[in-house]
Amino acid sequence: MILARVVGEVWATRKHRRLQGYKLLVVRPYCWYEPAHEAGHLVAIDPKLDAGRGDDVIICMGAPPRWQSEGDAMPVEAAVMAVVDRCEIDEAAFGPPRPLEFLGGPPPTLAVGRIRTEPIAPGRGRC
Amino acid sequence: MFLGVVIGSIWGARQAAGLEGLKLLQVRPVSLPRFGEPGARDLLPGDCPLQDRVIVAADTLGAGPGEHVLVAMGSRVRDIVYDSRKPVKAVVVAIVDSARIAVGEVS
Repeated sequence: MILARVVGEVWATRKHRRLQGYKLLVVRPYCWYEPAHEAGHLVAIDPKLDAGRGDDVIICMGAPPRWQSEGDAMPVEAAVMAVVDRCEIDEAAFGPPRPLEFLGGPPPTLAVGRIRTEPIAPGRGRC
Repeated sequence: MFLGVVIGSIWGARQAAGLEGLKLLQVRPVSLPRFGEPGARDLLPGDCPLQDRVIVAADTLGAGPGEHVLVAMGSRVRDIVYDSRKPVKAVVVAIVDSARIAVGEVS
């Protein structure tokens, strides 16, 4: 699952029949993991959560989004699983990657980051 | 899934078994501005620059050059739209009527 912000919406009339009735959202992930491609954005279906532009959402990628259509396998690879109310992130996790000792870099130092306790403010997103 | 623009078709005289009869399109993904980029505003997909990469996607919907499409990747999508014997990885699952991308509003 990835954390992403909804930046837009897509409307389509001609589409795969199993996509009928689902909202299509353009989202911008905060961080990628194993992107199947590097388009820099994702289009995810929103089954029933009614997320809108500006919302932070949890996107599930891979097979689980296909379970949502009550048994009908859907041709999607990303779906909105939750709308985020509040998020706490260790800021050190967003720092530059530290070199590994066995690769010849300095030994890693224990990074103790301040935990942000406020919700992600608009405009603070880093990608 | 990602947004892209169809830039052309591909035909092959000699094809792998299973590719016969498939319509193959060249799709370039759109490139969205980053959060908070100066000058970000409400965008239509046509305003977004295209990436350099080209992805070849199979199409059942009849998309033509210049149209914006949604492309889904992966063998499971292929299994659902076609069957497991088709050697494709990217499939056009929707042709975009309109889209609005508000990079400025949320930055």
